[in-house]
Amino acid sequence: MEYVTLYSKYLIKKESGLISLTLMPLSWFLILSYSPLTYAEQPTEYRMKVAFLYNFAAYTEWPDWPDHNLNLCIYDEDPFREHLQHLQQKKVNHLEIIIRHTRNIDDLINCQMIFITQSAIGNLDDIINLLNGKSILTVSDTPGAAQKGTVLNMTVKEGKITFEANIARAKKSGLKLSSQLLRFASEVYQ
Amino acid sequence: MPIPQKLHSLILHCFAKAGLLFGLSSIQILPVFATANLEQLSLEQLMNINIVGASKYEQKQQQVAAAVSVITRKDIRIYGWRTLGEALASLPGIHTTYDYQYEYLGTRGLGLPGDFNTRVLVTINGNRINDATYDQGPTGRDFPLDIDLIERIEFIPGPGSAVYGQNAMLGVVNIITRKGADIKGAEISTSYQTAEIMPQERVTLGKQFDNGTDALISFSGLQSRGADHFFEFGDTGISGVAHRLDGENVKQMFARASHGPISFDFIYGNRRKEDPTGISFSDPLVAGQFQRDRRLNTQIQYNNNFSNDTLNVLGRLFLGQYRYENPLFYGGEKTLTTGPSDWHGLELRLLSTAITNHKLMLGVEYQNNTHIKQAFQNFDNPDENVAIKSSVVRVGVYAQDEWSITDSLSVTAGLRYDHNDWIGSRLSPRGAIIWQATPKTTLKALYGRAHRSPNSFERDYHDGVSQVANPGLHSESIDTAELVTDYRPLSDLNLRATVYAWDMYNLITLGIDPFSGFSQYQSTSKKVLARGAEFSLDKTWYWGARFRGSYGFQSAEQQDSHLPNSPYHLGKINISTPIPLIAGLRAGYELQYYSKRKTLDGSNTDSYVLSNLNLVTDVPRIKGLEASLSFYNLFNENYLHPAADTNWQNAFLQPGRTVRLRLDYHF
Repeated sequence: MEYVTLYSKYLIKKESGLISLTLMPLSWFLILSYSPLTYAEQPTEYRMKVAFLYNFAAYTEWPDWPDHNLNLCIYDEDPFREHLQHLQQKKVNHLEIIIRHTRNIDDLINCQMIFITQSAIGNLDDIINLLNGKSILTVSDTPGAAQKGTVLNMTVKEGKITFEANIARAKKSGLKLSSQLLRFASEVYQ
Repeated sequence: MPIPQKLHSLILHCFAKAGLLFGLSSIQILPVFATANLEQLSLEQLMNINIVGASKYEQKQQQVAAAVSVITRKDIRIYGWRTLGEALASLPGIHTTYDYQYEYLGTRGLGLPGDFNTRVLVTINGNRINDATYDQGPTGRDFPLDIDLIERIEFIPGPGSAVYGQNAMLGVVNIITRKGADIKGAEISTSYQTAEIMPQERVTLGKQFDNGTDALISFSGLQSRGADHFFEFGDTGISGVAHRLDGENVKQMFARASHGPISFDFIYGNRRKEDPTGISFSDPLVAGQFQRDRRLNTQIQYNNNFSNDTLNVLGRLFLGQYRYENPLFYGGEKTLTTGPSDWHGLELRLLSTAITNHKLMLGVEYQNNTHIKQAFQNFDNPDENVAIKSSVVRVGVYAQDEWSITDSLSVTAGLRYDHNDWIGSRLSPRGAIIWQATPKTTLKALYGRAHRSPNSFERDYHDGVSQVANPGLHSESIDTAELVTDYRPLSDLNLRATVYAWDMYNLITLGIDPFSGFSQYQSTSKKVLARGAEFSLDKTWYWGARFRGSYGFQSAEQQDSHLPNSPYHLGKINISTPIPLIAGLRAGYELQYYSKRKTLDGSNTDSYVLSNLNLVTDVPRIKGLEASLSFYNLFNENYLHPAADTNWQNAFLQPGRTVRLRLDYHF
């Protein structure tokens, strides 16, 4: 935030009435930020991506089903924030979805499904190597990530969410992606 | 002596800025649903939902070599904006002015009274709207496209001449229209506005056919009786209420068709505005004085990709016509000023990504202003009649490269060469460095130079009694440097800070010809220097609300004298939120602060705060019916805008509270 300070100085030097003006938007901001409304005409990008994660889990078959829970791991900085609450206590194939956050790459082998965030995409090759052969569904939302080895990769196209599937990688991991899912993929890498 | 209105004598002008490339496309009207239940929807349903604040467009905006702003159709609907100028006024650094003839756009401190937005380029689907006589960039009701047919407005502030050529000195406003596929049937819109006593109506039909052909046709109109305002008429000592002298009538047509790579646009607007002010020192409080602007802009465009999508080819053939009429009375004698112009031309642009990490653009543009005719007629005294014909061919060639040196660092360099016989050759360079310092922070350093060739009015008009021509008039130029920081700490929060400086040289302004003693447009040696900063914030919430706020500081001076009609401070807040009581009800509220503005007599108009509120909702039980109620100048603020030196008045009191009720039916 250095640049903001710098600019403020310049402005304050020129005109002292500026501070109150910059505070005006801030106060509105605070007033608005706790309104507990539930209606929306259009959801935000990451709200939608949560719904896609749910569908991805529902349309994937793991070779060895876990006992009780399906661990969905968010690797590195969480872009979903409050939206992930919509998955809590939801079940897919009788498994309860448990959300785990981690920044430790070694934790990932305990997950059934991993969302590799944009902040971690620099480590993608390491992650793919680590998970090689393991039955873990990898999901990302970074352009080009499906070619590099994540099984499902979401993108925003013309204001809508679409996704690509890397079925070669899915097969290597022993995962079966439903044809219902593949039908809607914008791109399928064999 | 009669000084026809378009002759706005003034020194500089204004302009606006424009917006940018690549926004979100088609925002459709979607059923209201609770976001809590999205997991219950099928994949197919999910894939049809548009999202707000899509990172794609924001990331693209971050990559663009300008502090671009995008206004979508959804924003226009939520805030109930009636003109292009009202929509642009929500952006940082813009101050609009109204003089009961036209709306004017002030940009980053430049908003000279009487200037016709000649230093901002306005385009619709890439087709230039500024005319060939006066270079006017229309933003009010004379803008030929109904604002409800706009899908997206992109405002690119700063010099755009390196790509766009003429007029793009302070900004470019790109309008992208809606398509038949966005309409999917028919829309009927009707509204009524108080104060002006104005019905307004629109009928639009649109469809995408099974063979891929997309077609849209639309007709719009408004009939305003106008409000009765009180005006003073300078030295005449006359003052009074201008009774029934503020009427306005607009007729517009828009047609668009596309099939595969070919598209066709046809835009027509005809607007007549009665004049209550006695423009150009004409007789006060007389009926029958008005401004009429008719614009016809049409083009055929070819846009296709080749070589594995690494080559984009855009070609367009365009044709434009502008007609202007301004009847005025002087001492009871009836006069008429006209300024028609016709032009046509073509543009070819190649965009290649064949070389890894480079996006190379090459283009050529040709515009032939075939007929420009400026005439003044005095029906009672034909000796004063004047008719001046001119024509000019403009040719421009441009090249630009965006080079991604690393994943986080890119450089853009562009150059445009322009030639016309009036000013010879000109080069407009542009450069930018864009550094993605962190995943959340983008820094941009921008530089550009832009030119504007004098228009026919400035160069050729002479009437033998008040103004002489200046065939030797050269172009004016502007140098701009800007630093932009985009900071996106969260996926739904954007912050932007901008500092800029621009210097304008050889400004074309009205001076005195030393030989005849008459007025004449000349290049002034007095530079205009402007410095400013803008800070903006954009936050969306998952439950559907959005907050946009901005503050701008700007200081524009000519020889240590602050420019007229140039407020130091601009503050803007736009809030849109669903109202939980009624499903589908949404409120859009705008608050704008403008500090004082200097007028031509050296006094200042007061600072003011303007509020607009718009409520829009789906009507329950009637599918496809939407209602909105809008309050413009909600608190009935009394505020003034500076007048030009062609006005009797020094400032104009602006319209008070207006209420609009509107119904839209889609089927």
